[in-house]
Amino acid sequence: MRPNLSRSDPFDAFPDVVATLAFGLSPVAPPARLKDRLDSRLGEFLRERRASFNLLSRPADRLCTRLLSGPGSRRRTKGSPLARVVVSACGREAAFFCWYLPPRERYTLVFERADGTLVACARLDTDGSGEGELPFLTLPPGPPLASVALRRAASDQPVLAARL
Amino acid sequence: MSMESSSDAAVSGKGSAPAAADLELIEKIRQGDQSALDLLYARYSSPVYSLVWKILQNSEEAEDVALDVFWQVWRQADRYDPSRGAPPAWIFTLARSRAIDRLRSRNRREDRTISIDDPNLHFDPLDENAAPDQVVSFRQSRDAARAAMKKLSAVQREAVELAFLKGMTHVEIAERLGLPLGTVKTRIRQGLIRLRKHLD
Repeated sequence: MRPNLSRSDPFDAFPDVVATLAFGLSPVAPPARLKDRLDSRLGEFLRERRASFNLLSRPADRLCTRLLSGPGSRRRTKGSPLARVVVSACGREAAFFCWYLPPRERYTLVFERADGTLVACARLDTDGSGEGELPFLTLPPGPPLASVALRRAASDQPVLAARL
Repeated sequence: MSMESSSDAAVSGKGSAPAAADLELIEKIRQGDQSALDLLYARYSSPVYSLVWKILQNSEEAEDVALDVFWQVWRQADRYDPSRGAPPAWIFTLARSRAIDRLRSRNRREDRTISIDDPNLHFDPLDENAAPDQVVSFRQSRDAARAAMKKLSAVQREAVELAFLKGMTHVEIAERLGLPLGTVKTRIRQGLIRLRKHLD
């Protein structure tokens, strides 16, 4: 990170000397409440992070997002199925969005755990343009989830999949 | 790791084991490990607070700025660039930058020159609160830094201190000292190079 000082700051090219001179200062005791304030700010941040998330108000850096692709195809061409799953940093909630699927078709969102067991999490019906979304989805508790797939409800055939 | 080790790493800027431990802390902070931030705070809160206090000369502002520095370390650890120096160099550069920004925002530069070892500004909180090895290591680092400063000529030292503690630009220092801009640039650059050389 670049410091927010003028480019004419003589120390710009000497960060190691800044550290040296800082250690050369006579120490002044930080007040005890400085650590209390830092802990308080950190606690507030962590509480907020653990709370149920609102996708629209969350900064992107707190979320893990994965683009889903069709089985066997790495490249997406225009009009081919596309989906994105967004998992909160604490791994308890997710949001799911898809486009370019057949309209008005029923799908199941299936998560696979690290131990290989499958968990059908939610059903999804695409709209008239082949889009669908599950904006607030509570993930199943238990062992960690390794991947997610969108399967056709009628045939259980996977349409889109991604590792988490 | 003791305070001595971190301080030595900061002063030397070399790839020592303590510097590696600091890097490990930064990496853990990047991953959201709160205990790593606690350790980093224990190591650097006193010198960081001392630095911003010396620049701002105001306890409340120093507290706010020091808080922001550690918060910035927590939130932006992924922006730390090892190629620009060891973690202490990053942390103290952040601290100095933020303190000088605050100083400029309040637009209240005091006239008197503050010396790095001004005896009137001396407090030694470590006597009461810190572990013995911390007290020793801080004093060793302080002594090393002051010994390095003594390698500078009086005019070099004055210019370096104005830049370091008041955040003055070359132009401002030239005006303050009534010297040509080129002379000031030369004095400061040669001073900083001499400091770095002495520390190497």
